[in-house]
Amino acid sequence: METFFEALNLPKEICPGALNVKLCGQYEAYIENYRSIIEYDASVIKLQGKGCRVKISGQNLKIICFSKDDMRIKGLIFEVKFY
Amino acid sequence: MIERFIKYVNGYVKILLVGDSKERFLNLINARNIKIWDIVFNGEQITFYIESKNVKKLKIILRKTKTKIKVMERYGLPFFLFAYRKRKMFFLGLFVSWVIVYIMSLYVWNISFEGNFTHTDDELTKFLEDAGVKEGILKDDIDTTRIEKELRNEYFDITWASIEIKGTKLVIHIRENSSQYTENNEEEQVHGDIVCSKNAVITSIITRQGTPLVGPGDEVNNGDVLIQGKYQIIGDDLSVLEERPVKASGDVIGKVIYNVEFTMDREYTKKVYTGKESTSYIYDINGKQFTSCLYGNKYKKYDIITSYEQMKIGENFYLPVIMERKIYKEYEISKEIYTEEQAREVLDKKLQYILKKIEENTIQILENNVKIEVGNEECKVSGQVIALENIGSFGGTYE
Repeated sequence: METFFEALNLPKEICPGALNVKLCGQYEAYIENYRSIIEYDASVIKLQGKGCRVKISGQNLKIICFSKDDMRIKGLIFEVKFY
Repeated sequence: MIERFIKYVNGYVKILLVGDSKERFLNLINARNIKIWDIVFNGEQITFYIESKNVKKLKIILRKTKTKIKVMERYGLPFFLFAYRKRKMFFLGLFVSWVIVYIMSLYVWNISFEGNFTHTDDELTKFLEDAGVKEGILKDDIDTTRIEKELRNEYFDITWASIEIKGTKLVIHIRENSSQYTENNEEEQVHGDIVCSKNAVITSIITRQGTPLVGPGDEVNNGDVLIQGKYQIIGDDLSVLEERPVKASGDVIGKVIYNVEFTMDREYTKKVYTGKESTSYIYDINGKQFTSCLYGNKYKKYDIITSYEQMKIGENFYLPVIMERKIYKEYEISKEIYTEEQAREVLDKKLQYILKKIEENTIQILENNVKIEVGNEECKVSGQVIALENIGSFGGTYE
């Protein structure tokens, strides 16, 4: 699917199922296309994407709102790691 | 903003979640499309907000995840109403007052005029009353175009009129054309004499029209004819051929003597305010009066200072309530005696006032020999003021 989007020169953001993580400075993150929450506490949030997982570590992490597809996180973010 | 308002109307709660499977709980909530927000991890517990109608939906999830919840705080309109459910009358009163304010805002409670110089407010108010516009009229009943037209038709010097409704206030803007304002003062063809208005000795007489009957040095009394409003055409044989009536005109200057005499006791009563005062309020609501003071005032001697104020909300929302504030100031009467200096000062003031009044109507004060005498018990002012004055005035008409 990714190669298809590459061939058409389309932005990969609209690729269905791709896990999008948008950071707004160090204090806010916006995640799209996640599937479920694996772990949540004040210092780490682990999310399951379609083909990968993302780990956001920080301090005083707080989920402002979340729905089936997207989630907004506030707090002091130290690291965003895909694994 | 709208979202917050909807949340407030529906009501929402802050919930504390205790248990091990917090992540599973969140995932299940997500799967069931239940909206929660502000999820904060707090040690071993999670707090979050949820709309109150969704709390029941959590039951199955709680059973599945073996977690427990506790409602910590409640927010929103349903909880507010529930908390004050025994205050039905308060809400009823709130609603009724809102309805009253709304109904009152449909009427005009104050009329003011702007831009009128030659026409007084009272005159225009009366005109409006005749036209059916007065305080207490429904705003919708005011036909502004008709009234503007009527105003212009009634008063020729009003070149522009505009009616503005500001809140419950009716403002009438007027532009008067002062340059074209000419009084209809075409002199009527009246004939008559110049008569004497005061007892005097004539010093000079100038006749413009008519026949003078008196000359300088003559002593005249009030009511005497000075210049007759007729002139005679005399023939060669000195017989009167014709007598034509005219409007007598001329200046008759005479010496007038004013006798000034008045007395004053040196003892006088003086008001000494004790400093005690009480205030009562009377509310005039559409002609009916309600007083706030049931017992009246308790002073024996007092002055009343009354002030009126029409109640209004903001600048232009006038209400049909007039507040009358009465301040009762208690005083005591003490008898005192003027010192000679004080007495002279008081008498001099009175005398100056009298002289000023005389001076207003005279050409010149020739002599002033008024003396002030201050006795032990009584003070006396006596003397004469002789003044030059125009003593002739037009009086009476011929048919």
